[in-house]
Amino acid sequence: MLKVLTVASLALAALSAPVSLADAQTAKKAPASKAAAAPGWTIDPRQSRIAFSTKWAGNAVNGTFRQWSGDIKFDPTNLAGSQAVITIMTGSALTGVKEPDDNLATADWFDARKFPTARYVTQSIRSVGPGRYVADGILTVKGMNYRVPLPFTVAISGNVATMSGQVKLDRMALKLGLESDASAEWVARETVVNVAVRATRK
Amino acid sequence: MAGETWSGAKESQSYTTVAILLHWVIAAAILVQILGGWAMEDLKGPEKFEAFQVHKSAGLTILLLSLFRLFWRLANPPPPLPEGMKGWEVAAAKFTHIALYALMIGIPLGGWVIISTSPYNIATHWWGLFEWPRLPLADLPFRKDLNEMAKAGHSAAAWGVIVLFVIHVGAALKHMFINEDDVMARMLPFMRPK
Repeated sequence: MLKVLTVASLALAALSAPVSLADAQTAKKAPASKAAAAPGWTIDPRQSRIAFSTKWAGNAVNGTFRQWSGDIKFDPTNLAGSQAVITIMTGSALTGVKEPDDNLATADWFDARKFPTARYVTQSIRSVGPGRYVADGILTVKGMNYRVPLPFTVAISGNVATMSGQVKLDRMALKLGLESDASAEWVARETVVNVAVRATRK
Repeated sequence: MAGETWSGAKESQSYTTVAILLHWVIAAAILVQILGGWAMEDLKGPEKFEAFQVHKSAGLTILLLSLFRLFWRLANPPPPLPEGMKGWEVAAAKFTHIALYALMIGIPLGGWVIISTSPYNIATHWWGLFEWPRLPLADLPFRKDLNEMAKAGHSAAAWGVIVLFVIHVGAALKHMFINEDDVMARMLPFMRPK
């Protein structure tokens, strides 16, 4: 199931835009819309995940955030009232590879002691085709805000929605590992983040 | 034990087998460390990672062996220098030996400081047997400066070893072929003086 979602999201990879700095003001603003809120969805944690892929010492490393939560309001017919707020526990990143796992939470990377959470808050969601959307959102990592568009697909069947999205992030732009590995000798700059969510209507 | 040697009555005319073994094992390891230490900078990816693991394991082994060697030397003083050496020659020999000990112990300690102050938390697997701990330096306010200093010192000290090595070997050869005494022979395995 998840594999299918991931494969589906690969098609979206080409759409993902690079990360750019957003001014802090923008991030604090509520979504622009004044529309009535779309219905809420409850995330099924066992069938949802936020995964990331990178390279360490030339080898592929795949990890997930084991702890995260989300507040999702979504209606394909009311995108103006739709919003997702995703909160990720930065210290919960796990790859199963010792060296990355020994470092992900440390000061030069996620600095989980000082910044225990990262957040993604959509500012607006637009439709780009049948079942295909792009969220324009603000990603907050280590207290800094970045404008990150997230292309995703949603399929709703009855009360169950499956969402899948993928975005490529530049860890250097997010100030991750700047002192450890500024030349990307050990850790690749590009990190592919896959989001797969299965949720039921509240 | 020390009292006996101070009296001079039982002062040995040769190195112990342990001292000779330590001398040559550590000498070979230092050679590998200096050549390998520079060569590994050019490696990439997993090979570089493995090379660093070997370098760290070997360096920490030199540290342990050198500390043991220092205690062994204090308990088993080396044979005296030959009669008739000039004052400056004795001083130079003493200085070179003290400096070599300082580097044998100081360089691996400096390496340990480097890995302990690195922003990268890369575990050191000592010959794959266990994880060698880091020194508790990661939270120091001047961690980054200490790391830079230790790195610069580590490679500068390697050059120091090379200079001392040239003096050390040159002096040994002079004793062997010009002075024709047993200073070098007594450190060679299988060539113990009769």
